[in-house]
Amino acid sequence: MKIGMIEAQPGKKAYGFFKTGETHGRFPVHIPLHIVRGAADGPTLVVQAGASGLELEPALILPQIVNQLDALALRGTLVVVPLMNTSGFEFEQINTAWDNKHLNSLGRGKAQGSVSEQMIHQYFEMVLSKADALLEIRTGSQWSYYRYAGVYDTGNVEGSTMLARALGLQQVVIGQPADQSMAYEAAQDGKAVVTAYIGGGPGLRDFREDDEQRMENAVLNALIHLNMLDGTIQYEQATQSIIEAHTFLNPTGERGFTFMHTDKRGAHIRAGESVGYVRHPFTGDVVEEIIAPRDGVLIHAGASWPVTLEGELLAMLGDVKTEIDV
Amino acid sequence: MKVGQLEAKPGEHIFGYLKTPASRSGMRPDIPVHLFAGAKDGPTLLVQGAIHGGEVIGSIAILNFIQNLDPNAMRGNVIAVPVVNRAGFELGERGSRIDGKDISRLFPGKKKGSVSDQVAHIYFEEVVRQAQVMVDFHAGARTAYERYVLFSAEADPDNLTELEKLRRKLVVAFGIDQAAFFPPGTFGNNSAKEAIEEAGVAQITLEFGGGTGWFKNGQDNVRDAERGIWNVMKSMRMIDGEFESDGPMCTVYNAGVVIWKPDVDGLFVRLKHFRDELKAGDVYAKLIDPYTGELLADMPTPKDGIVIPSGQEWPTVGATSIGILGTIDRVEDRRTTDLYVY
Repeated sequence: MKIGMIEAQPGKKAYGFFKTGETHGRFPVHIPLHIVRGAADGPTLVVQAGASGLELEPALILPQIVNQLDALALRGTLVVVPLMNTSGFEFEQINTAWDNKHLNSLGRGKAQGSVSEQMIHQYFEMVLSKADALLEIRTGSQWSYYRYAGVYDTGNVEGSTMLARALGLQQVVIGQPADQSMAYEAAQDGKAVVTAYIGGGPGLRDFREDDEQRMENAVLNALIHLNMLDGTIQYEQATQSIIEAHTFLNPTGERGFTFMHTDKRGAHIRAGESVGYVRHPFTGDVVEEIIAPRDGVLIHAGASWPVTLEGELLAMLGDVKTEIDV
Repeated sequence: MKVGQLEAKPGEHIFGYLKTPASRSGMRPDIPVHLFAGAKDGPTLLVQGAIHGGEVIGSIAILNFIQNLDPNAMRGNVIAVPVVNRAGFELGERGSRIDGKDISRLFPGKKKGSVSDQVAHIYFEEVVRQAQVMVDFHAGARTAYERYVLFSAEADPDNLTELEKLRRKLVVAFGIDQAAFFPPGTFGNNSAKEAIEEAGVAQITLEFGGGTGWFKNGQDNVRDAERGIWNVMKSMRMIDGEFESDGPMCTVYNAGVVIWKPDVDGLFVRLKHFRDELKAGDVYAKLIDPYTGELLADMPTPKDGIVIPSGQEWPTVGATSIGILGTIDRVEDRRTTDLYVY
């Protein structure tokens, strides 16, 4: 398999930067990626992370997974992008530094567009369009903390849901709304696509090693599920909840210190019940209760740090469709 | 008592904004101030948060504290400022982007200077100078986690000034189990702290909490920070009551071993934990290549020491210290220490 100048022969690994252009200051616009090509034929799985320059935990573990994999034991091809947004990482920001774009808001990109749009266009054409399955690992950046596998309600929903279940996380969320991400576009093309949300800054101190293990399990489990690797799927818990997401709460009312009831995650919430509150930052008065508009299970997702970003997901609710004894 | 145009009569709590100069766009980072004038005379305590705008655990503790504080049930005055640096708070940043300055380093400020110079001047003259004791909350912002009381190094520990004696008691009275001072030269001079001391104000700084521990420990730190403010009030005899603490002992570290980021850069992975005892050369943390996982650099400690509860945890670090180690200077026993400053 060859991506740009990076080529892996059967049973070998390759690593390099898939260069798609240069900025006006002549910095390379590129994506670091690994190819692990199995000795035997099989499907192609892409594992990507770091579309945001502040979603860094996957980069702590994905290269290690590549290093530990035996290409000769693999069937098919694994492509791993540990940290896609190199300029955002460089300058510690979510969007790219070159044109201030969020790489997951550009759809399939544009052949004739800004440098980021061109980069995503070439990446989509050269990598994602040739993949059978995509696992994107996202985190809560510096503001939120997550643990679930998400599936879009488009394309090969059954295949995506099966892949999501196989990642081993306790909560699998189906019915993720359409967005402008690469993953959504790939899902529309009928590929098995899962967005695994694992980790985030507010839990980094206490859960870093656990979350790295969750990410490693997710990748290896996906390979096993796709019959690319022998082994047994490792589940986080004995039961797995398949949840249909229906309510997404974002900051819309008062701003200040926002406290979400993260201790309620996983619990069933009644319509009208408080899932958080906002306090005036200078008087301490509670200026808004954040109320669940309908019944549902509180998904392990959303803001935790009390100063939220505009547009940040505060909480997500859904209905449990199936409780599976794994 | 009066702060700027704000005035509280005995038994009153009033809230308002201390006026500051406008930036070029007309933005005024006026400082939110709560005044509690006790029904009876007594000393003045200043509690402040978020002078570094992203460090908000103390701010939340102060908000909880003021909602429970009854001016009629206390002696003296409390000035509570949940957020000193509003511009930094707005953007989640340490300094003020209005002029790129760190207000905490500008005291006593300048009457004629940049916006932050003037803010520091107004705040110093109107607020800081009125206090006998200043509790200054800092934290690890979104990228680190900390839990200790920081105070200035003493010039001659065998011959303490009255202010230093008083401050020693406050450090222990606050109620957490670890405290530290940086010996001279560790981080360079801090003339702002000297200005506060010259004004006769006993300052303790709380390095308390931070974003990377928020999900699990955030509310516990807020609770303990508020507990510390009440303890300081007891120490100042502004209220009556028993001291509450982590436990009877408070370990005070001479924190003179700083581990700095090496010249190379990558993803930072901290390997050691608070209270780990390290020998010179032991690896405290490492930097790895973000794309290949290759080891770029080990970060060893240059000297023996114990990891004090401070330091970076987020995987990117700036040109800053990423860990602080210390030796035990003394262990204070709250059961046998006089915790009252007046």
